[in-house]
Amino acid sequence: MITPKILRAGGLLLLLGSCSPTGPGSDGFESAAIVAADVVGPNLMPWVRLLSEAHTRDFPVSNDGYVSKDRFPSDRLTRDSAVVLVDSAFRSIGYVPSTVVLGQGPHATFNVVAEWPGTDRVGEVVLVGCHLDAFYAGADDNGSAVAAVLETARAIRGHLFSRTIRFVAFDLEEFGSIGSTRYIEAGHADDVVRAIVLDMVGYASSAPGSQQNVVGIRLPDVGDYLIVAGNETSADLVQRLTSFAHTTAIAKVHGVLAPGDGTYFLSSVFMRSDHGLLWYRGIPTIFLTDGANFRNPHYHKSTDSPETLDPSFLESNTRLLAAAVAMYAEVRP
Amino acid sequence: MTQEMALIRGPILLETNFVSYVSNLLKVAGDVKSFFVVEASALSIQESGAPSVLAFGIQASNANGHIGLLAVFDESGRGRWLNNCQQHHMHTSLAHSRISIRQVRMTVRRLSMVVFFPWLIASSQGAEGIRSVRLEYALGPSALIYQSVYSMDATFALEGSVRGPVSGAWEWQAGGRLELFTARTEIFARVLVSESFASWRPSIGLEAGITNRARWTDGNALLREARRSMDDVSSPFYFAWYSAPLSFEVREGWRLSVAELQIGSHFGRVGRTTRVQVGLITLGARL
Repeated sequence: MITPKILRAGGLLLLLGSCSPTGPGSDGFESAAIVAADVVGPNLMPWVRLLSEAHTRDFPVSNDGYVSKDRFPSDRLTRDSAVVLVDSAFRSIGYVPSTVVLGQGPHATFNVVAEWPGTDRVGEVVLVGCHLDAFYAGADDNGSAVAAVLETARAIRGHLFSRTIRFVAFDLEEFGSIGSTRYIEAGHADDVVRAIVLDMVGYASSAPGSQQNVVGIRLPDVGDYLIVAGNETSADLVQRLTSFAHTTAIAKVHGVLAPGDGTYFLSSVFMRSDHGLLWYRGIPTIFLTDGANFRNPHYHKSTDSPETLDPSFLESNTRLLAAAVAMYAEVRP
Repeated sequence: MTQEMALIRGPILLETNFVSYVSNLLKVAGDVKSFFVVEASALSIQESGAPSVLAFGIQASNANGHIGLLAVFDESGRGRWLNNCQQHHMHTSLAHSRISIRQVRMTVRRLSMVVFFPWLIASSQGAEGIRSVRLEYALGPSALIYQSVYSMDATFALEGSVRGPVSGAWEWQAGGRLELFTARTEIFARVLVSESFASWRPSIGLEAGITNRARWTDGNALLREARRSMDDVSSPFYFAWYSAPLSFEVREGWRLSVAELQIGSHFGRVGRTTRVQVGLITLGARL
């Protein structure tokens, strides 16, 4: 594992370094690290492989109204098998998940939801979300994130938290965050006080030039770190998590803050997942990603297969996710 | 000359703020060089103890500063060229300090307002203004581009307004726009400063209004539901920076203006939406 010398928030704004004079304290880091240690790395890739196999043998969703393009192979989007698999996965680790069905017709959405109740602030929810639909096998996009969420859901069951933790596998993100939009519109996120959304967290490269800049935002050109994106509303969450990662060396991260609430045209690149509407609604939300098409050459391609992932990178990112959940939901000592 | 520079910076900073103050923030990070804003400006400049002069020119503003060429005219109509080139020192210096986002944003806004209002006041001093007390009724087509995080929507409207004097160079204007084809409407009010130089009558000002035209109607299925959801939370109240650099008194009591420009955003979440409106051609008559 590589200890970041400096945690630089890229371009859109400023530096989020551990030496920041306004940096958060390390209260809760020890407890969060204990939760993170419960993540079992070898559990992850089997989930990714199962999901990829499920997508590969599934039938595509109707792409009526969505023109298929090179970067947007709308005729290759699958989700049905993944819904079943994620539901059974949550059951296998002790949850009783529910499937929230919203909309009708071929683009009805099936969001799979599982909760770990809080102890004293039950009505305050920390949402952990990722999308379950995928183009082709979708190992990085988004099997990696689903695996990270499932393993985190398993790891936290040995702990108690003040706030309720809600895991949501959103449907039809690739067609425009439809599942998450309907979920939020229907009021299911009204009790969410913090949120973490993941989209592609398993691809890394140590090659110079493997990380491209993101629309004017200069990033370190070696794509071996997780991007932790936030906005003004979630800036303290980003800073706390990047500080934790630096202090514990649990993962290599790079914090990026979008200006304001992040909902501006020029920063729209940072709203390209299920957290978009959460930002719009002012819910403090961080977004974890490996940089998608700005790093992964297999983005939305048939080559997005499990062999292209970096298992140790995925493991460290999952530990970071578990730690974030512990901090935001306030793990009980 | 120094004072002229300071005054001229006002509208540039303000428009930069309205259009995409994000660019200022990118600039703070020091790694965006390609952004630029080109503007045509009509300015009234007054140095201490001297009569006001008019300037008209084109200026480009990018991440590091702005450069432009201004034609400056004195009272007698004699003109001179002014090369207006200046670095955004204040922003550049911010790039070298560790500061929070909030501090950056506040600084940018504060700079804009501090620079802008002295400029407006300077304009009004010594300006002879529009002497007529008659109301002007104006009509013309306008184009509006609305932009939000996921969308861009262009529409046309018919605009009608009435305009009258306040004091000196200050005027008020109020009116409405009826969008063609969809019949969506908006009403607005403006306060503006106007100058007369021979038949040239440029003006600038601030506009505020209520609109229901911020609707993302494009047919793209991708993100349609997200756009609709975001659309529902947009405030109906907006404000805009207004400028009419190509406005002329074509004959007694008749004014013709082309390419009027308004750049603004909605209240509440400034910058979440951007509205760029161009008054294609406006004909006004004082009755």
